Amino acid sequence: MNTLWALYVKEWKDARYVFAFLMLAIVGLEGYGWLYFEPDFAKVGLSAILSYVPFILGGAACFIAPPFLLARAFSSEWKSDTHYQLFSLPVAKFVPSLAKYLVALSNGLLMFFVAAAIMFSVGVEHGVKDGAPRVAYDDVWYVLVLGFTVYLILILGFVTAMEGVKFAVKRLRRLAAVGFWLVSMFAYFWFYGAVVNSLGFLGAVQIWSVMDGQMVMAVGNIAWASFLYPAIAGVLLLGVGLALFEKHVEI
Amino acid sequence: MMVHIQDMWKRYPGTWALRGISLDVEKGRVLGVLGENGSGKSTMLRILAGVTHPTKGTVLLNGQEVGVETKKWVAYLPEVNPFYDWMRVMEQVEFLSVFYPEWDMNKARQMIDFMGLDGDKKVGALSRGQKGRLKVACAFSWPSELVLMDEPLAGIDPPSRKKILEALFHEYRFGEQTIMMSTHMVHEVGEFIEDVIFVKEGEIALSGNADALREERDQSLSEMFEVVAM
Repeated sequence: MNTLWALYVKEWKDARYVFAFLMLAIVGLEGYGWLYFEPDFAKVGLSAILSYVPFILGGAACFIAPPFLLARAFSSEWKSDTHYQLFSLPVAKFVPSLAKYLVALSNGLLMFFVAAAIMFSVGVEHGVKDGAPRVAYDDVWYVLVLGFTVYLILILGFVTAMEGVKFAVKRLRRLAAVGFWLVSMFAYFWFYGAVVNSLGFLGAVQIWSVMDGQMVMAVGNIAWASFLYPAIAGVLLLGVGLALFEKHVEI
Repeated sequence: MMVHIQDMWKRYPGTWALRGISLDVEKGRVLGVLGENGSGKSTMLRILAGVTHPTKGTVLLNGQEVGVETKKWVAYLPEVNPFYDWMRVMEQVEFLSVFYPEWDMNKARQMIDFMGLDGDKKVGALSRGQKGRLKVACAFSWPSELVLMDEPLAGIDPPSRKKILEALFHEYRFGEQTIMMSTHMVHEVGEFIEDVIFVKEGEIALSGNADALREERDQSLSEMFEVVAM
């Protein structure tokens, strides 16, 4: 555990400047949006729509950046020859890769929490309550956090597995990684319906619209299984990636 | 026996790097692994360090298969600079210390001082020679049982090489550490080597006790290198 923590801290430090830049970008974008947000569509038309753009961009950064951070963490080791040091450490070879995964996950979640907190404060500041989605009597945030977390587990699982494939094969590395990604994406969606249906007994979370403090209309259902399936798939993909690093990746 | 290698082969795409190497190294010996670039000596050390797998063959260190357990008492200096440019020298040393229970921080500081390195300097700001010194310092900062040094003098200026080797072998070496050192700078390491193997095209072309070979062939190691390994 001590060694995993040391590797985790090392990865954090390694990514700190890129992470800080991304955080600044997200805070800057959403802070700008916070200042100029205009909730009333009827009054100002296009400018109201445009006032959502910073939030969309900030949110998109939270989705897009973590997988690239993880891919960068792997490739920079190979580019700078530091993988010699990692592989000669007296830990299982999958442990440094697990540390990279956990740091990318932490980075993504932190970015998302900051972005979500700013968006939430915009809602409070501008009194955007009517028409805002609710889950029972709660705000919808925890469903969004759950959704983002399972997305992150899945997408980072894909990246770890792809990197495992890339460094396990001796030739045509990038092609092999992209090929693996295509096949695993196909498999993921192929099994999606069957698995989510078979887990239907878990029920669904119902999203309501609220007017004048009262829930007036169910606007959507999200099956709990649709959160569980990507999380399971992400963990499986992570397992594939770590197993490849343990057994087949070498210098 | 510290190192036992039996019929070890290693294949990379399109080529065999090692072709049926067999070798035994006794505890406490200093073995020179001599050969030209591309002869397979780095691959051999990488396999012993556990960063590369042999394609076939048996490799035992102190009777154990190479793995996490052996890495706990094997110090490996690769031929490249394996350190993080963004870390400070002492930060890198402290990072490594977490993984080796017997790491000796006092010894590490001593080694850093002896090598003339500034502990607060970023690794990325060090010259190639200074990075080479840092590798050596890290390898001798803890009482490993086996030290694998792959071209340890690369990048270090010629006047310092002898001084460093003398200090390593006579002052900083922990007890009966077994040392395997690959190099093609034969004339500089010759006096420190007890046993030697000459590697050519993935095979051991000549091996034995260095003094016995010198006597038997009436040649220096450098001369043998030119005849056998080139």
